[in-house]
Amino acid sequence: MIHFLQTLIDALSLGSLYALAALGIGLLFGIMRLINFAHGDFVALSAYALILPSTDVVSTLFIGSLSWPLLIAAILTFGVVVALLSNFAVFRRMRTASPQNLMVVSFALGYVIQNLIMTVYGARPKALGLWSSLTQVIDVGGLRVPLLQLVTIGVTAGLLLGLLLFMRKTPFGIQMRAAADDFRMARFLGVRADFVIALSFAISGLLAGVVSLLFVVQTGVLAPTMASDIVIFAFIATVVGGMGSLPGAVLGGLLVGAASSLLQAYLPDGIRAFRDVFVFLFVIALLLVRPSGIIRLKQFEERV
Amino acid sequence: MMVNDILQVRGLRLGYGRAMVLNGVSFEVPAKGLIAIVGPNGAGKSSTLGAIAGGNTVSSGTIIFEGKDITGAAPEVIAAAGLSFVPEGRHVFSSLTVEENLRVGTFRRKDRNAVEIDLERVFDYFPRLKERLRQPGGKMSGGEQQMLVIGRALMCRPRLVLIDEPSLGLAPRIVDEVYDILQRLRTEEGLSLLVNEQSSRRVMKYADEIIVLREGAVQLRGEPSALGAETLHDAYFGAGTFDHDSAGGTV
Ligand SMILES: Nc1ncnc2c1ncn2[C@@H]1O[C@H](COP(=O)(O)OP(=O)(O)O)[C@@H](O)[C@H]1O
Ligand SMILES: [Mg+2]
Repeated sequence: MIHFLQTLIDALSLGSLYALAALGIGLLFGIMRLINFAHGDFVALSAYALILPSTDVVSTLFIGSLSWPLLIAAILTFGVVVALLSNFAVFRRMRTASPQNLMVVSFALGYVIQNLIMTVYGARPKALGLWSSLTQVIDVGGLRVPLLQLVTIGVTAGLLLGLLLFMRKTPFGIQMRAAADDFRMARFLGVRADFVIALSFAISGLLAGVVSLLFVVQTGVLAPTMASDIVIFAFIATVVGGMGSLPGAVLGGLLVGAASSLLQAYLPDGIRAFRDVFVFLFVIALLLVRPSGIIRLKQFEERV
Repeated sequence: MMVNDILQVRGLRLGYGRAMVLNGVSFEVPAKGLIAIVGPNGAGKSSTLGAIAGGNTVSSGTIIFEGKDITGAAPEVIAAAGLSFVPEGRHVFSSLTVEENLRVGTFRRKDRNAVEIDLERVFDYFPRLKERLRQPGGKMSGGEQQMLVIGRALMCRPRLVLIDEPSLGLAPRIVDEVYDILQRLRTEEGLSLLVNEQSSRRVMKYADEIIVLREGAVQLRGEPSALGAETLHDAYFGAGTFDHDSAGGTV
């Protein structure tokens, strides 16, 4: 029972990370049909902003040396700025491009960011101890949980609630949902295309910033491709949840995280190394049953 | 060019790819008037309205709304200027509630305190919307959706509304209801209207002027009472196709 509860918390915290990354991807897909392969590089670049630019093996804290409220504010702002810059420099110019072209361009952008990181910070992974107090394990009635997992789950729950309220209750959110539903029609009603797109990039960048912080504290390592695994699972999560649906992205993230954690905990030792194979099999099985994901959106049915 | 024309379209030409779809279309909409464009499928009616609303790229020609040149302006700019467009197929935001659908166009209005009053006015014209405020827009019947999208356009507080085939797919009784409301909007709110229909039958009763469009060109214009069945038929189908024995049918 205790073992199961611990696995459940593992599942929730891993799923949280996937869900946040999947939301960052799903948001842009919903609004502008962009499958943003650069999202992982937004995450990595935000994480690197914690240290001083240098190719030295030893990292020196930069933003990472700030007090925690300032540090959080700075990294989230950084994530937002990276995403907005990508929009202004690249995606804004190709709003009428096909989804395929957008995707290829996002690949290219991701590659550029990765090489930028390697040039400025070096290609070798760097150790980074940040908020090590969060990695302590606390005892909750016999249950031994890393504090960071609880923080991850709490932060994610808070962000999801905030985003939900934003999308449902604010004029900006309602305009974003309208644009995701029918972009052309939203414009005919006066919704500004540039604004809605910039807003989705900003939120996507903010989410990338959050993921970068949670992930760096958890692993204690910076590497140019540090976020590629998370982002691959996040992409799977958006497909599993139903492309373009934000609740679907969250659900998909949690589900993929749960599948990974449960398999990790309960697969026999000999085949545990192939855990991801089983995760993918599970995803394929699910998509065979529901080809358009858990949450089906009408506006994508004829296109996909 | 009359001073009291709210919309003037001059020599509009556009195409998708190589083929031209509109070959120099000109007409105007008088303030508080209801003008109907009729024509067979593929005539270019939707392309014309889409171009005026900023949704289609124009090759040449000018579109003047309230004295200002809006040719090539972005759809959101044209909407904010007071010209609303209800496209073919209605385009209800299916995942938004009826109320959210109605409010999408209000967030950029300067007169925010008038929004609630306008909402009540829309309920006045379309009482059924009020009973369904919390329902997803996608769950409504065709007639209700048509009312929702007209109400939604009104919430932008436009002075001119373009409506593409409001009667498409609706029962005759609902069509009459819709047109009666459009008529009321003209007289009570001073709204100007430009409406597309495939058949002239419905709009004869309401329109100040009928514009017959075929093959991307205006074939005939005139007050409904001044258009004989034969001239209307020939403009619609091409000269010499009018069959005197069957009186040509209605177009
Ligand atoms: N998006 C489009 N792409 C290519 N061709 C189009 C498009 N929209 C309309 N057309 C073509 O333009 C012509 C006029 O269409 P349309 O304006 O929809 O006419 P109507 O509304 O009178 O039926 C038709 O031949 C149609 O096939
Ligand atoms: Mg049409």
